[in-house]
Formats: sequence, structure tokens, C-alpha cells
Amino acid sequence: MPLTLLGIGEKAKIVKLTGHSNLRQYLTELGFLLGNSVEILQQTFGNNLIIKLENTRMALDRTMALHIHIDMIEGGRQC
Amino acid sequence: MLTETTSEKKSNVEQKRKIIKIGLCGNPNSGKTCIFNALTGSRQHVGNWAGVTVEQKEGKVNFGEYEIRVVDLPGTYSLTAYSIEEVVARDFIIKEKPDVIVNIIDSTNLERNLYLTTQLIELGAKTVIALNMHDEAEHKGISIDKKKLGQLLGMPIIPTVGNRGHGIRELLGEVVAIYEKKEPLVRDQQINYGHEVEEELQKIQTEINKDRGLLDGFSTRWLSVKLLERDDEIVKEIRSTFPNQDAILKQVEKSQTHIEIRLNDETEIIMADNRYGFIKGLLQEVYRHRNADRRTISDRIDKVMTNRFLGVPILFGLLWVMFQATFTVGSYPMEWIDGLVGMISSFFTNIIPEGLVRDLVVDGVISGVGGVLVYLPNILILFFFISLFEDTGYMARAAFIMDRVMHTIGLHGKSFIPMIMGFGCNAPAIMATRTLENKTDRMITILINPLISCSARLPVYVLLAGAFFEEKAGNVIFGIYVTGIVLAILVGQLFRKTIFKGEASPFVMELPPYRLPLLKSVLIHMWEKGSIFLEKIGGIILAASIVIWFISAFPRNVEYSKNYSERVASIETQYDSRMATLNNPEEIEIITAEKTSQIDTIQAQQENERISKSYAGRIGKFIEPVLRPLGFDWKAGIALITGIAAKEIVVSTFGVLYQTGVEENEKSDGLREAVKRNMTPLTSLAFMFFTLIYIPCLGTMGIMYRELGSARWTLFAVVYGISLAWIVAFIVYQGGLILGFKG
Repeated sequence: MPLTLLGIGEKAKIVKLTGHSNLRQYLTELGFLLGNSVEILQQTFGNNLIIKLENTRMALDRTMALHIHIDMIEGGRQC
Repeated sequence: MLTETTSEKKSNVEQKRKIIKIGLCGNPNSGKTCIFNALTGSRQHVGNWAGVTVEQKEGKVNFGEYEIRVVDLPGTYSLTAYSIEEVVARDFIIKEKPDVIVNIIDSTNLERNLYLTTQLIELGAKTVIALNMHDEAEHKGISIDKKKLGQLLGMPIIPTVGNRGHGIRELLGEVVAIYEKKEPLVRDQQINYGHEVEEELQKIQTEINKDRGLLDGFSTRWLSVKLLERDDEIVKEIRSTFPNQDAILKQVEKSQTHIEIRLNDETEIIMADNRYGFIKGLLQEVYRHRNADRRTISDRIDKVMTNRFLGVPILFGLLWVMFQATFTVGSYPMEWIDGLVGMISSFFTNIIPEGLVRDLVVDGVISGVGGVLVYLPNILILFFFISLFEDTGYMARAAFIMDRVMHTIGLHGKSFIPMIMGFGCNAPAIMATRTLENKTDRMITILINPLISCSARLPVYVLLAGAFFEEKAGNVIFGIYVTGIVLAILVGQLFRKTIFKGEASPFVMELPPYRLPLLKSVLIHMWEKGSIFLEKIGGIILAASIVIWFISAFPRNVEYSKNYSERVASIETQYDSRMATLNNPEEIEIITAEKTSQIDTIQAQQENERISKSYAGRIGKFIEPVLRPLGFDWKAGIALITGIAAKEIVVSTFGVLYQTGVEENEKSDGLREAVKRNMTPLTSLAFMFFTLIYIPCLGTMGIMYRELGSARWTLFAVVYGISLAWIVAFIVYQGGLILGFKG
């Protein structure tokens, strides 16, 4: 499922990147790697996100989040 | 700063010093600038934005018998041809061939930072790694086996804390060791791309090796890797230099197809994956992280600062504080400088005998340069805040908060950063658009940036608003800034709907952890930017002041329409005869004052006529018809023309044009009063709007030309600016007249 569906405090792993190869390469360089863990830290009204990606903090908008597909990790914390 | 030799032997040593050239390379937010500052201290040269094409910061440090020249490369995540910054950094490494590369790595973020390192490995660059912010990493429970990492990478590793200067000496020692080939760790390393890709790389290499004649500085393997990755720049390079280009490119295409069929993904992605595979392997050996899940203080701060309700108010609150401080705090040192300029002015008036030389020094140089110098405090305070935003990490949050708003003009949040920087100076702001990945996003951001009112325009507002709107000046100036922002948004929307159609590209950016800014580094950054203002004063503003004085002072002999000296004489005789009949000392005083004021009026009329017949007057009169509908006289016209060189010169021009010929005792009441005699509140308002919009200064135009890569678009920016300025000023002035204000 796309990253946009993840709620605040939930954790997941990246399983797939979609979109043009330039975009995927760029995401990869920023550290969006398959298997890396993501967690939603904050959401704004426009569904812009601040996420925890492994050990870094990333800000991204909804369109970008739609390119990142994830799988939930069991036992995600409720917040 | 590190090892200054004793002065008696200094010159001797300097002659013998060996020169080592190093490049600093690293991700954005890796603390590269801190390391650069710690290395070079004050001995650095910042690229002059105003037209000269120096893109890199350079500095020097003496270390033992070596002089180490440091070039600070732009911060990048990779060395592909994805963004201009990456190309600049890569070209430097390949073409300038620095002796050693210092790769600065954020220890808290090892995985991503090592990606750039893999590219340095492939380039075969002799590299030492500065494992920066290792204190922060330890604090976060990260441990890195430095010795093992160094062995695996074939690069020596020095832990550093840039903002405290830890590890800098060791880093320099390592640079020398590599330069002298005494570092046993250094060896050539390779990234293994797996069987399928390696086979194809071999084939391409064979093809390239068939004609090695033109190979210069490129390793064959690196070329093959880049070709396989569809790197535009390298494909161009091959096309222009290799005689057997067709065969090479054909092989590349064949290899790509082969790989993509076999591995079922695009070649670039496969290669990047393999690099990360290499990094993952490394990390498994050397990296441990305890309590990785912990929420950091930075996260807690973000809960407030980027909160969906509080984020925007906090941002605007901070901007408001910035402007308030700029004007209120800045007004005190401004008065001191003003007083000082006044003292210097009267000093020279006293020591130089009356004549052309005195006019040149006092009316030309001192009023022109001094008139602008008083704004130095305002400008430094503004830059202080901008540096503070950058150094704390808040700037990235501002981009995130404003992303939604920026989407309304078809841009994303990253475009907001150049807009804030534009409050300081448009030239570096336009350069900061390089972080935008999308070309049309970048074009729009560049084209609307001059509408963001830079600090050079501030003197014009402070002078005019201060003169005409007194205690409401702050609000008027704030209103002009807001107008600039609103216009930028409207123009951006218009461009997006007409010239650059399409959607905004998606937004993603790293939010570096909040850092407590070090006063020293904020001050260094403030000074870097502020000193450009001083350079301008010593250079272009000084030159312009002299030119403006010259064209307004010459020709000396004009034919007057009236005989002024005769009138003065007649008044004198008239009063003298009247006074002869008086005895009362009080009455005599009153009559004398009356006489002086009448004579002054006539002399001012004479000076006015002379100046209107000077060269400046003639030029001004020539363009006056265009500016009449806006309520500007020819003097304002001249100020606008000279202001193209640099906006501060508008004030210098007022200083020269409005103050020459005014009696000494009246000069003390300053430029404000002089301006008041020549403008009304309404014209001053129209004039401020015109100044806000009309044209980017020469320096900014130079940068625009370079960054847009097109003379046509630069010209477009100029033309639309002037047209828009005229329209806005026209509406303000004519609207004001209709509403019954005095024109």
C-alpha cells in the first residue's frame, strides 16, 4: 500500500518505489531503500508528511508519498 | 590559525611551502561548512555573487611545510548529472584534479552519506573521510568501527566535530600523508555490480580501450559505469571526444537492453541498488545502533514548530520578529553612523577650500557613499536572521510548512527557501534554486525572485517612508514587502498557467535535526553575506556616486533664464537701506533673517535651474515624459536609472541630486528634509513600489543569466519587471490623485 495510508505512529517497511526512473533514483539516493523502515511522525492538512526514515527525518508531500509503497510491521504503536 | 610560523622565518618558509589542493565533498547537512570554517578560519574567499563566476568557496591553511588550499564543493547526495550542483562538484574532481578529497560524512546518517563515498571510490579519488558529528552519533547510541570501515573503503577515517574544531589537525595530517603517499590504507577499491552487470561493463570497457588516445582523467571503468547509467554529461563527452563513439554507444545500448531483460528493472536502478548493497554489507560489519527507536529532542521541537495549526503562525511570527529587529534594533547604530558621516562631511568642508574638489568630496563621494553606509546595520541584522534560520535547521521546516501555499502557484516548498533568502539578496537566492530538481520549477522560482524585496532596496524604503509616513513607516515598509510577495505569487501563477504549463513536481526533502547554532558560525555567515554590501559600497556605489556628481555638476557655465545675482544685489541694497533707519536690535535681527531667507530662496532657484540644465538634467528630462504619469520628476528618473547598477544607488543619487547647492546649515537636517521638498507622500509611495518591482540589479541580472542559461529569459525578466512596475506605480499614483491625495 502507498505510504499515504500509514497513520501517525505506525511503522512500516518500504517494499517498492514507483514512478519515472529519475524519480526513483533520486528517492534511492535520499535513502528510500527497499527494506528500510519508515514511521509517520506528523501529518498536515494537505496530507504532507514528516516521516522517520531509518535514522533521518524527511518531509514529503502526498504525491511523493504515493510513489512509496510499504508493508506494515506488526505491533505498530498506537498514538 | 592552526600553525602560524614565527614571523622572522615566515617569508622564507612560505617560499618553500608545498601546495596541496583539496576539495571538500559531502551531503547537504553533513556539517561541511563547519569543517570548512574550522579548516580555514578567516582565510577564506567567498565567490563574489555580483557577476563574477566564482561558484566555490575557497580558503587556505598553512600546515607545517605545506600550504593547503581548500575548495568547498556544493553539498550533494550523489555525483550523477541529476542537478547542477552535482555536475559542478563532479567536474571539479575530474577536471581540476585536487590532490586529496575530504569526504565529510554525517555519522548519524552513515548509510545515505556513504552513497556519495561509493561514487568517490569509483572516480578513484584519493580520499580521506571526516566522520563528522561523531559526538552526536555517540550520544544517539551509534557506534562505528572506524578502523574496519577505513580498511573496507580503502580510505583513512578521522572522527571530527566540525563546530568545535575537533579532529581538524588530524584531518590535515592525514591529507599530507595521502599527498606524500605515506598512508598505507589508501588503495583502489571497486564496487561489485554483480555478475550480469560486470560482464557488460567489461564489454564497454573493451570498446573504449580500442582508442585510448583521448582518455584524460577518466578511468575506463568509471566511464563505462556512467554510460551504463545513462549519464547525459558523459554521453556528451563521449560524443565529442571519442572517434569510435558510435561503436561505444551501440555497445552501451546493447548492454542496457541485456541487463534490463535479464534483471527486469532499469539499469540505473540496478546499479544504485548494488551500491547500496555494498553499503549494507559495510554497515553490517562496522555499525551498531542502540535505542534506535527513541524520539529525539528534535522530534519534540518539530511537534510544535511544524504543527498543523501552529506551523504557519510561528513562521510568520518569526519573520515578523526578523523585520521588526531589522528596523528597530537597526535604527540605533544607524544614527551613530549617520552622525559619523556628518562629522566627516563637515571635517572635509572645513579643510578643503571651496571649489570643485570640495564639491566632489563632500557632495559626490561623502553624500553618495555615506548615504548608503548608514544602512549597514539593517542589512547585517537581516542577514543575521537568515543565517540563524539556516544554521538551526529551521529553513527546511519553513519549506515544509509553506509547501501547500507554494502549490497554489504550482511550485513546491523548496521554492520557498530562495524566497526567504531573497529578503537578503536576490543573487545568492537565485543560486539557491539549484536544489530544485525540476527545470520549469526552477525557471519560475528564478523569474519571480526579484519581486522579493532584497536588502539593497531597504534604504530606499527607510528613507522615503521615514520622511513621509513617520511613525507609520514600519507598516508602510511591511506593506511593500507583502506587495512583493503577493506579486511574486500572482506572477508565478500567471507563468505557470501560460508559459510553463504543468504540475509542480513532487516534494521531498530532508529535515536535518535542530542544532543549537554557534554564535561564531552565524556571525561568519552573516559577515560573508554582509561584506558583499561593503564591497559594493567601495566599488560600484563609490564609482556611481562620482559619476552622478559629475553629470549633475557639469557643464559649469549654463545660461540662466533670469539674472539671479542682480536680484540678490537688489535685495541686499533694499534691506540695507531699510536697516539703516532702524535702531532696535531685535528688529534688526528679524529683518536680517528675512533678508537671508529671501536670498537663500533665490540661490536655491538658481541652483535648481543649473542642475536641470546639467547633463543629468538633460538625461532626466529626456525620460521624464514616460515617468510623468507616475508623478516622478526627472531627478527621480535619474535615481531609477542609476539604481540599475545597484538599488542602494537610488539613495546615493538622491543624496547627490537633492543636496547639492543646499546651504551648509540646511544639510544638517538631512536627506529626509531634502526629499520632502521634492516629493509628496503619494509620489514617494508610487516611487517605492516602482523601486520594488522595476528591474533586478546588474549583479542579479548576471546571476540570472548564468542560472537561466539564456539571455532571452534574462531579458524577459527585465522587460516584465519594468512593465509591471510602471503599471503598479501608475495605479497607485493615478488612483491616489482620484482619491484626492496631493500629487
